[in-house]
This record gives sequence, C-alpha cells and structure tokens, in this order.
Amino acid sequence: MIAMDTLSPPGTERKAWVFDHLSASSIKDYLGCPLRFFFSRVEGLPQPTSPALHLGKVVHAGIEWLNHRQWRGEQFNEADLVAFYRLAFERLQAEEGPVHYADDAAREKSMETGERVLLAFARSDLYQEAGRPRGVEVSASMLVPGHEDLRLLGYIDRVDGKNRPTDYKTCAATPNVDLEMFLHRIQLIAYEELVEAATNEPCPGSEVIFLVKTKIPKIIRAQAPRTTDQERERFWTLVSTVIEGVQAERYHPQPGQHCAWCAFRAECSVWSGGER
Amino acid sequence: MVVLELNYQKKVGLPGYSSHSCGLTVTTEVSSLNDVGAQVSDLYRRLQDSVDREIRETGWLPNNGNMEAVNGTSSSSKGIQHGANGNTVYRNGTSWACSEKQRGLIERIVDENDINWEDLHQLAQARFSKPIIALNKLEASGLIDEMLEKYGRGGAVNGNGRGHFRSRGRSVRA
Repeated sequence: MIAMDTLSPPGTERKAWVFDHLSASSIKDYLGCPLRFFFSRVEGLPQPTSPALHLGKVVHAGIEWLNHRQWRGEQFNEADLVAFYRLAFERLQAEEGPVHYADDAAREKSMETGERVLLAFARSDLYQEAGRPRGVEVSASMLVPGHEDLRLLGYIDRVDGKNRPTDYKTCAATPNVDLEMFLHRIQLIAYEELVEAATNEPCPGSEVIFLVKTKIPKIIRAQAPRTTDQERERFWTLVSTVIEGVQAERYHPQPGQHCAWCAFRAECSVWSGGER
Repeated sequence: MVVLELNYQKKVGLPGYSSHSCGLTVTTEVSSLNDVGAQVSDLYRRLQDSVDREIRETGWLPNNGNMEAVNGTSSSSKGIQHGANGNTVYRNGTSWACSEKQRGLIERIVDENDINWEDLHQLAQARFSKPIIALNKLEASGLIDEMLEKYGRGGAVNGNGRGHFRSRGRSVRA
C-alpha cells in the first residue's frame, strides 16, 4: 500500500476515485506500469502536454472532421479543413495546455507538420475510397463479464461499413508495423468486443492507420484479422489481472524503456512500497 | 322533420411519402330533436366502422422510388404507424434495437425540441438506410450525437470529439 499523502503534490485535493470502468488505454497503462497508472489515473497527477502529444490530438480532431463529412455525405474543400485544423490547434492548446514549445518557430513548424499530414490523409486513396463509415468517434461500453458494476469503455475513431473498427496513430518515423500491431493488440481486441456488443454483428477484424510525420507524410494501413477465441480469452484474462490489481491496490513500478518518457520519474523514485 | 348530415373522414400516411383518405357523408332525417343524439351516435359508429374497414386496403403505392405496387394493409412494418398528414408515429410498446436508455434520450430530445418524427426518420434513413427503431446501439449513438449537435449543443464547430470542442460521443452501452 502506498503512503499516498506523501506522493501527492502539496495542496492537491485528492478526489475520491471511483473504479466503475476500465478503458482500453487504462488496461494497457496498468499492464505497462501499475505505479504510473496510479499516478495518472488514481491520483490524477498533472502531466505536461508534449508538443508531439498536442499535435497528435489536433491531427486526430482533423481526421474526425473528415470522417464526419464522409458520414454525412458532405463535400468539403481543403481550405475549410485547414481552417478547422488551425482553429483546433489554438483551442486545444488553450483548453488542455500548456504545451511547451522551444520557441515560436518550433510551434509554427509543428503546426505546419500537422497540416501537411492531415492534407496527405485527406488526399489519400485510403480516405477517398473508404466509403461511408458506420460510426465516427463512438464511445462504447459493455459490462465486464463477471462484474455487474464494472464496464469496459472505449472511444473508437471510426467503424466502417463492414463493422471494422479503425484507430489512427501519428508517429514521427515509419513504424515497425508488426511490432506496433502487437503492442496495440489489447486495444484493438477491446474495440472489436465493444463494436460486436453494440451492433450484435461480427467484426471482420480491425485496423490501425499510421500517419507518419515525415517531410513527405506517409499514410500506412495495417489490418489485423478477426480476433480468435484464444485471443479473446487472453484479453479477458488480462482484464481480470488489471481488475484484481486495482482492487487490491497493487501499484508498483515496472521499469522499462517507457521510463524514458514517463512524467512521474520523480514521484516514482521516492516510492518505497509502504504498508497497508 | 329534422335533417341530419354527418361526415366522417380519415387520412393516413403511407410508405413512400404517400397517403390516402376515405370519407363518407350520410344525410338522414329524424322525426324530432329528441332523436338527434341517439341517431348521431349510431351514424358516427356506422360511418367510422365503414371507413376503418375500407381504408385498410391501400391499393397501389410507390415503393422506394421504383414505382412498384405494394399491396396490402396500411404499413405497420417495423413498428411504425403512419398517422394523419403523413406524420410517422411510433407505437407504444414497439421494441427498438438500441438500448432503452438511448431510446429514452432520443424521445426526450424530440420532445424538448419539438422535432418532427418524420424528419428524424428521414435522417436515420439518410445516415443508416434504416428506420430509427431498427438502429443498433452504435448507430443510435451516432444519431443521438447528431441530434445533440443540432439541437442540444450548438453546431459552431463540427467534427470534434473526445472533449475537443464538444463532449465525447454519446455512450453506447451494450
């Protein structure tokens, strides 16, 4: 049991944390590092917004705008898209910032990079020929089997006409697609479970669209086949592991490469376990 | 002698944005004013029975723009009743494919904003090619989101979810 009072920043009013849902990302967070999960999701310690994270959110908003146009059968011009993107860039920074850029030039460069990526996506065959989606930015939830008061929650970027959930990821360099798909598997299986529960129809699989922020942006599609029974069983076993850990307040560090970009290294370094 | 003239007319909306009506007029005489009440009641029942019996036969109807005949009784397929003036009403007790919570939210938004059900039906058809009551939970979520954007949250900035500019997409609870 962690001595929580010593870890919260002075003056922090710790809110009562109600464990009534698990998101796909929180499952991944806990499995990655339970202590980081505790700091970010239970304690709610603030995390600085990196320029890369901010840009990812804004590009995401732009993609949602595009998908909504497709869903409504509305035509659009690139000027409107760019106008929306730039507005989103400013407003998100105001609403969820601050975002720490080295200087104004770095900020402007970041904005231009995102605009380039978004336009590349809008012009791509992948978007142009995608067809009308079934759902855009859908929030879905379902009861966790065996738990009457706990729900699995997910925010699905897009569900296509064949019931396939799509997730969009921005990245700075061309990804190792096989590795990335392995790392995203938990999230994708969660999405399939949620979509199938919400539609009573099977998912043919899932996909991730990587938007690579290179000088000439790349749009890379990676599709995963339909989840097997063994994968579903593995997924729900992992979910149970997370639930048991959270309910038992089992929060401990899990050092790894992810420590390089963790916002809580200072808090982590003073962790010593403590007693219940 | 007292002359009574009673007219009874009914109009129902039908698939393919059509409608038809049936009306009857009967003229009769009664010997005194004391007989008017009973005679009107009897006549009204007879006229209504006749109209209700005959109006069920809809005859030829346009179907999905293909101009094919759709014979049979007035459509109550998929739980949709067609009321007067082509307005579509939903039977009490009709089960919807989405969750009860979603249905309740849709009905509440309709009531609070005085939305015409037929307009909403057309929106559902345009987005999902199916009537409202056939929308699954995921599709109902999208419809609710669109309704809230149009009627509940203002549409100043479109296409942004997850707390960006507007609240997250309406939850689909399975």
